[in-house]
Amino acid sequence: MGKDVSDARTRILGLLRHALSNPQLRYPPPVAPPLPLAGRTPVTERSQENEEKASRFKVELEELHGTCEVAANPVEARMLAVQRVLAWSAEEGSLPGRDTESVWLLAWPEMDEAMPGLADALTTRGFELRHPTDMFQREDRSEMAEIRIGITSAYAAFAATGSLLLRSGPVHSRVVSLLPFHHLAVVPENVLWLNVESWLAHEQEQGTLPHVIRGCANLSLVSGPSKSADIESRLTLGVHGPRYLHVIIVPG
Amino acid sequence: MPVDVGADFKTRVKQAVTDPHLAETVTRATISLTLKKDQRYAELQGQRLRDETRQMKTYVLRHLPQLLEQFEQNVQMNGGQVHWAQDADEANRIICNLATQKDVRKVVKAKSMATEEIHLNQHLEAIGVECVETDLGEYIIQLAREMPSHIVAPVLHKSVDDISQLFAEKLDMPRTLDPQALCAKARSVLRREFLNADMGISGCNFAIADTGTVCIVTNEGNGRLVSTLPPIYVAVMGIEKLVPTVQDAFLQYQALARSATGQKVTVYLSMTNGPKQPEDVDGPREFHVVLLDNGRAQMLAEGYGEALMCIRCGACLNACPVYKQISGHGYGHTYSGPIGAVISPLLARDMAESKELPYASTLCGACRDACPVQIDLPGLLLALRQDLVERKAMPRLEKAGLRQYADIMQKTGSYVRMGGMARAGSRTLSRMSGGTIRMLPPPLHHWTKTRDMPPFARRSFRQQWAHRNRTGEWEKT
Amino acid sequence: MHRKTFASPPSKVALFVTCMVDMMYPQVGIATVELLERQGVEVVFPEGQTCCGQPAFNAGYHEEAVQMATHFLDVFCPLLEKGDIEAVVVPSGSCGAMTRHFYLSLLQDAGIRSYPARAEALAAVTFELTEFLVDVLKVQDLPCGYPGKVTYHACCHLLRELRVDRQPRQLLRQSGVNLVEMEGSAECCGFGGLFSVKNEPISTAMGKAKLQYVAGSGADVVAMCDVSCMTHVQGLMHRQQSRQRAMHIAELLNLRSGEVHDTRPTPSAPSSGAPPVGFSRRWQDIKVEDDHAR
Repeated sequence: MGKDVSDARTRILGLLRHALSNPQLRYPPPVAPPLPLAGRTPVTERSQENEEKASRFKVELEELHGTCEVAANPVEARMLAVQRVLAWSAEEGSLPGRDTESVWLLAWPEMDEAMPGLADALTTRGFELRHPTDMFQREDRSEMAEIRIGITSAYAAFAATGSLLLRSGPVHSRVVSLLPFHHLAVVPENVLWLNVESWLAHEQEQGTLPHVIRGCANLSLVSGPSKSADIESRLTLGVHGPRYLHVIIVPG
Repeated sequence: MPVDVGADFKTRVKQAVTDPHLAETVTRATISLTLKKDQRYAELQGQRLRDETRQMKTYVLRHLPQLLEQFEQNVQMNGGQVHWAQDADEANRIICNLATQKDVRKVVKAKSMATEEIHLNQHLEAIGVECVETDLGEYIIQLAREMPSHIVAPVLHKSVDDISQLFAEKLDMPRTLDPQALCAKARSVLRREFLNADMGISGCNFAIADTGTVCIVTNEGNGRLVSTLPPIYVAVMGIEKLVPTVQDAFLQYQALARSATGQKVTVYLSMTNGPKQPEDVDGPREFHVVLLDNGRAQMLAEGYGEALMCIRCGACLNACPVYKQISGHGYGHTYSGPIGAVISPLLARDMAESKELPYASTLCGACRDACPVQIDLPGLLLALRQDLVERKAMPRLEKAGLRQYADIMQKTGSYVRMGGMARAGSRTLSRMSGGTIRMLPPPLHHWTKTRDMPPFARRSFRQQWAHRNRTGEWEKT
Repeated sequence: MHRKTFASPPSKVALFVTCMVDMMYPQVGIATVELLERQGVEVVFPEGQTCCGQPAFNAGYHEEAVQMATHFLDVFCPLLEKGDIEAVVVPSGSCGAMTRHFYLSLLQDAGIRSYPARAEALAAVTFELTEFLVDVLKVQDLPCGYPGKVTYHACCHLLRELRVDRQPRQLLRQSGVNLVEMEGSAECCGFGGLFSVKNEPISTAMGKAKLQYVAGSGADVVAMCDVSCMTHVQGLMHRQQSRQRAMHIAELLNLRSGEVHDTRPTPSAPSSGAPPVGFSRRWQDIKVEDDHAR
């Protein structure tokens, strides 16, 4: 046939324009206004006003088979994080011992800023925080793939759906929340929104929405641990992504 | 015996309805999906959500050329590459060329109806590229060498026992009826594939014109892995998949999650703008989008544009009483159920090739009520039937029969005479079998295969009416 | 779609009896007339009526359907235009949907002058029987003497084209019959017009699923508003010698107490397995005798 690629583009757009120029066309109607931004159905809100976002987040995430703790203060948050890591390691049968080599954890390099003292606290217990430097290097790739626990923060979180928004970037590796069997997310309360709509409206108002969306290679909305109902509509967890998702909400 | 999707329609239907478990399995699954969907729509202003989704998608259709251009420009600005494919051949060639150029040996795929539609795997395998489906359901289908039987739940037709047997055969796994164990096995096998793949290929649930973002919706996380681990990521999308803005994307996400699986949100919504940024430590180095027409523009031109608003949630399949009986495989095409009965003939080169599909519906309308975009599926099926008749694709005898029927019905006298003849004939037939007709001559013999038929009444209503007009009371019969 | 609202209930209506009722189930037509007359409505029967054309339309044969549609409008419209009738009543959701919904687009596409407007005018005053009884005549109380258990099957065109569902259910509830809910009551029975012959295996499989739902409800009778679906459901039941039976709602509602007098089981004396309404071999003629013996 020998059609080249630009030809396909011209033909497709031409065909579409021609079709749409037909005044007798059955569908769509000649005038089709865009859906206005204002006044859309609130899809994830509850009726109560001033709902406590952290507790709502916990309820929603637990419905999705995740777990959540709301810390009273940063110190408690750090303690909860360490306890969680220890508990998971114990389950995995890989608790670091006095004379053994340190156990690796996958973590964003900025985790110590998100939760001051976390790295130290974990190191003294025999863990070592690792992060990928180049996932295309075979060594990096196979090493990272073996690690069972990943620790991240979140760009934003949404209470009404128990969702985390992860924005990729140089220090925000995508695999940390994806490859391990356990994902621990530390969410500062100040990035917690009631729902996606209120966050979108805020970013829209600030004029920051396009950059937030496009300024990174990938955004992922994560709501609970990986799951499937493909087999006889029965729930299975940890299909490809983490089997466990634990969120610690850290107050202001 | 599974339904042989390569067989003709009649055979497929026969295989489906004689399968002892198929209808039961499919019915159970689709009813449960429908119930979950209804609950999710009931907890909010469901009708408003449907109206808004429809308005948004109608806008997209009306402005499709502009939105496509805008999307293309934005993907390019984000560092991605856009390819246009007018048909399946072109799309396959584009992807195969890419694979050859980059020396790709292994591809991991996330669930994608568009690549099913163009039979991409076959083409890649023909040039020596191994394709691994990674959605749990699709993986099972691939192991079984079958076709997905549902847009959203590809192995809806299989029991856990079927799957256990398959894993025992193909993966040397001890027999188990525990879905979690089967799932864990698939995880470990597929994890290796993800780490060793040279290219990831996915479909696209929707793409944002405003930002050049391709969105994929999964629960398992395979969509994220496919678009993150391999050095090259290719998304194949029908040209109708666009939404104008980020807000519209979240609107469609809501409609999709609620309608497809009765979820408020899926576990993952993965939004890819382009390849990894220079300082990123992971993510694909190359990002390609293939915009697939494959009959869609023609569909719009021929008046079937409404079908292009479909968001592939599968709600119409779940609501359809025909689908429950014959499953996706009964339809014999990539897309099944009511939406499949509409678009399969339109995506084909010649709609007459699948002329049975538009007639494989009672026009009961359950699909239209279930559709989150309120697509008038029965109306589209009726339009297709009209088209088939006008293209003279239907049997000549049928045409002649209906022609004669219309001629008779057009005049009261001939109607009454025909009624008299049918009465005499049917009463003779019924007398032979004790008052009820148990056998009718062709083509009505199909009726009496499984159903009895009463004869025409001894006195028609109009005769009894006339009698009452004359005598003041109904005739005693 | 424009629907006429009546300041006072119409006193004179035309019966669109449908060809199937005319030829096969006259007792349903008679019951319809009697139900209307009991409410003080005068019924006229335009004798020119034949078939509305739905079989041709649904199969895609629009040219043929147009022929029948214009004939239908030629029969009914003059009565309305002259003021001889105020409404049209039809004991069928399917034929009602055809004349009320599909005529307009059919005739618009065909481009035959004046007919689309006539179709629209007629559609505005066309009512399915139960819809007319409940919404227009505001019938409150229509006692029915049937002693067995009844369940309701919502025929598709009635439910999803005309959006009539509350009305027949309300009539059944108010009639005093022992009404039981059926799972899957809104699921298609598998008739589908020519579908039942063209796709017999699917049609049968769907019908059998419906029969299971009926059996599961424990009802003796499944009532519905279309004789076409009834023929399919009852045809399967009769072939399988099922103890349930399908019945048109008009016929059921028109059974008044005292008219049912035989050895049928009553709710207080539960079923012995015998069908509650005499299991006649000519099943479409059931109880006509009773009605006329009064």
